[in-house]
Amino acid sequence: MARTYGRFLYTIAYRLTGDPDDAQDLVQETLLRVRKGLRTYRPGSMEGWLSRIVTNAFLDDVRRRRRRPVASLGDAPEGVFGSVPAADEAMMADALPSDIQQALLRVPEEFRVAVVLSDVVGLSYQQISEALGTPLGTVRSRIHRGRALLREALS
Amino acid sequence: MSGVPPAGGRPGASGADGHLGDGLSSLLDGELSSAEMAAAQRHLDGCSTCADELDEVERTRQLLRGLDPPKPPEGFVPGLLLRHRRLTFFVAAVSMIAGVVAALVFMLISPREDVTPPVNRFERIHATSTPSPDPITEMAPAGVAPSTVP
Repeated sequence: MARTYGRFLYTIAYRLTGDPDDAQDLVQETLLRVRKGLRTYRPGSMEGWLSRIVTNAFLDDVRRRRRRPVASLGDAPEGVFGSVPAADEAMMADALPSDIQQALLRVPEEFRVAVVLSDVVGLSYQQISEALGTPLGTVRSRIHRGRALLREALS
Repeated sequence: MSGVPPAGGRPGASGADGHLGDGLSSLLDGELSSAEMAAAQRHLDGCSTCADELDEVERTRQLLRGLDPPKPPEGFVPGLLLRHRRLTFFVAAVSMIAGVVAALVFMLISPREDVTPPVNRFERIHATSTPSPDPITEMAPAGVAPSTVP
């Protein structure tokens, strides 16, 4: 599992967290959850199932940190969680333009997750709805709003 | 709203302000039905606001879609495997230790019954019988004369 889907999970985790260390921790947490939940896997899209686990692990961590305010949240603009990686870190760990990744981190998590699942993973709206346990209309709205926020962050 | 039908089941396909709204993303993502797509196209033909926004959304969409996957740090996958093996070993060790501890605790706290042999009863039973001078003779089967016993 780690060998086959490690990079796939790392891609999602890095897009969501923007930090190589946080991404590795998130992948590790995801694999733990996969190990516990392997019996519940039903034949279907393995990528969709893993995407659900990794995004839920990410959102659980976000909620946990929100419940327990820490100093790192104090500097985040408008409650946006997540540290913007230093330029050298982003260049080292990410072949993508760092400004896009940094802009993505400025998109609130609920919107960021929807955009990443759509534009990075390539899931359909229905799959995203199932992965997040969110109504289809909400997914539709979050993807469009998330893209608009990303555009604003880039401009 | 000229174009995309209100479509009771797909409220996200049209914006409340008469423009396509999040229907633009749905259109680009292929998430509209044929009828909704045709209606959206008709709207776009007459609405420069939505047409311009469609271009913006598409550019933003392609930014992420066109990115290469991030390169994991050196030794990422071997590190995952190593941590997985360590975790498996740790879980097995903890399970074994927990089992041993549980067994010891059970042995220590479980109530022990004192065994009391019914010595008095046996004494009473055997007190009425005359002790045999020769245990071998006493054990001889019925019908066998004591004299035949070597």
